[in-house]
Amino acid sequence: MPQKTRIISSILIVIFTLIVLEIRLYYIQIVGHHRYKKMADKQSISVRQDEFKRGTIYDRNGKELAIELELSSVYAMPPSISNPEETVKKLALLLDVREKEIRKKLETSNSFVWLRRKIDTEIAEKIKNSHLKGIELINEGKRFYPENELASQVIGLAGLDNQGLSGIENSFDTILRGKIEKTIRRKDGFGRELIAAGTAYPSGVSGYGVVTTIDSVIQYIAEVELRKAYNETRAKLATIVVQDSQTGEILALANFPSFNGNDLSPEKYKYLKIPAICNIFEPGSTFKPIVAAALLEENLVTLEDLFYCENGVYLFNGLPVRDHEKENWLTFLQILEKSSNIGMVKAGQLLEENKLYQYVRDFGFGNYTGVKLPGETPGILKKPKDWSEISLSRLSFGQGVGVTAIQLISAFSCLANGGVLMEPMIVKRIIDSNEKVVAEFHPCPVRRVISYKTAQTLTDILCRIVKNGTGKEAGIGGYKVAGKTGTAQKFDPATGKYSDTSYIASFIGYLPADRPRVTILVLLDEPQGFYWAGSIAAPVFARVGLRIMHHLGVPPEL
Amino acid sequence: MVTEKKDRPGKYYFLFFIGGLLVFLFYVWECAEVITLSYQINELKEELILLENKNCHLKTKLYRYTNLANIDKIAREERGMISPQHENILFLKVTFKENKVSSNRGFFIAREDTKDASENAHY
Repeated sequence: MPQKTRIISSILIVIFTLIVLEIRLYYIQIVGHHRYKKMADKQSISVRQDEFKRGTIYDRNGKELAIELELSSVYAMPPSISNPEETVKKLALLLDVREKEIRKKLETSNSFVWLRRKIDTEIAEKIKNSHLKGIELINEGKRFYPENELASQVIGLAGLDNQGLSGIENSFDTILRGKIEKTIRRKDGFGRELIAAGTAYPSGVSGYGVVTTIDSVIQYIAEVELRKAYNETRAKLATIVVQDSQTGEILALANFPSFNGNDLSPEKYKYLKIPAICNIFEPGSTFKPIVAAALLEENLVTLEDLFYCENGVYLFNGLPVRDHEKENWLTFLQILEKSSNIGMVKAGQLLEENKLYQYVRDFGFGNYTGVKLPGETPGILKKPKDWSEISLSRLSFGQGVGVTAIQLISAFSCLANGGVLMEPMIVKRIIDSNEKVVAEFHPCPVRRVISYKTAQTLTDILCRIVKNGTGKEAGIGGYKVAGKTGTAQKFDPATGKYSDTSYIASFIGYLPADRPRVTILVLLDEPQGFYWAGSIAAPVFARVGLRIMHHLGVPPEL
Repeated sequence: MVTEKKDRPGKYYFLFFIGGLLVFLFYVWECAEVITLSYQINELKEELILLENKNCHLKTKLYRYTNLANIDKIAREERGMISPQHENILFLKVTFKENKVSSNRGFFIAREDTKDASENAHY
């Protein structure tokens, strides 16, 4: 072959090869562009959701009650794992999990799988140092409750994904939650993250902090005394609520049994709800001051009016009403001092059904109080059209009405502050991460229920009850205490009758009576053995009340 | 003179080529630097994660020691302290205007002249 031909053939071969390569390149880059880009992106790009720090929950004095801690979580990207068997063995050892379990997780077609969330620092460090390909660490927030069980039901609980499950964590979830941002991350062939244009790291926006009205010292006092009372009385459930008599702020809300948010076992899930706002009970004698307030406000009785108390048993519409002690003639004041059911039934008859219903409603019963906690129930209060012939009489001594602890304490705070029903407050303000106030909640008067004069008369009566009546054990040396005992039989749905063995013993009162600072409710559900409120609930009230007075620095007046 | 005129466009092309090459090299260097720095950032981030975890571990320990129940327990069991009885407490009247305290004994101070809003509230 002549040289010229060879040269031309070579050139043609090169040109032909180049044309073929160009066509292939055109096909890859222009025609198949989308397909190949998609394949490349699938290998190198991942979308990650970042949630920023959950806000802190504080008590009224700035003490942290719930904080966010950063802990490592370990995840796998199965397509990036080069040596699955070795990775499984090493991880099983580090995470103290069976190999089978990890293998099952890695045998997925997903590009992301959690292996273990919120692990210990030492384990995280070991995983990092083992340089396992396709195994990554990420920081996640974990809720921590520095005071363990303190106010656990009020603060509530946040779940594994930082969602509020109960308490303030739930009702203020949207405020507490940090901003969630999705970011696109690109990785190189070795799985290392690259920063490229448009994939910048998000700037964190933490959730807002919530400042509660809870005073952690008062809460602690309440919980210590509550636990003591619970153990002594072997009650099924015990509750103490402390409220600022003037503003309606909840200073302490303690229930026992309770839980520790840092170490919650499944059998304690039932304690997540707050009995003080979720549980309904018949108040018994603690309801008598409410009826008395209606009678006095309507000028239907005076404290000196006499009522015949039938020697302890009174048949009303065929059903017996009994008194703890046999009494003949008692003044209205004595009826309340001695907590006579018969006397209250007779006095209650002076009220019209609609009138009594209206007063009871005005005191906040049968309605939501508006406390910003989840699961509140309005209680049970039938409308007068649904009342039977005995409803009014039963209501006069606290039967036939279902109330919550928060309703009862708010009603007594109304008597304490001069007759204005205040909305119970649990949150004072919302603050940002620089402690700048974002929103503030102020005490909110709902309505005036009774006149100042009637409220003062009621306070005098309640003081007499503590001084001379059933609430003697609630007396605190140096302080004038106003309060009322309540020993209520529980209704047994099985028999359709009031039980002779199950009781709710309660004491509710406020102090110092002349210028009330706090209203305290002590509630013992189904105490075993001795069940009279004057003997088991009133002493608890006295102990809690005295320690609170010391804590608040309220000087004795007597 | 004619030769000089012919050489000028060639020089410009050469300078243009050199300039373009420099821009290209700068671009390549910039990309490489971004990637190197992003690797460093990632390493630092991992370190930060571990440091934050250690910090969290220490915080947990600190809170365990400073919570109310623990302080109460230490005070009672280790230090043998007891809650003050009512008669042990001396309430003092403090006159803030004169900046004078009548006695320095006692645990609590009753701030009678600085009543808070709740005390003064009348409805």
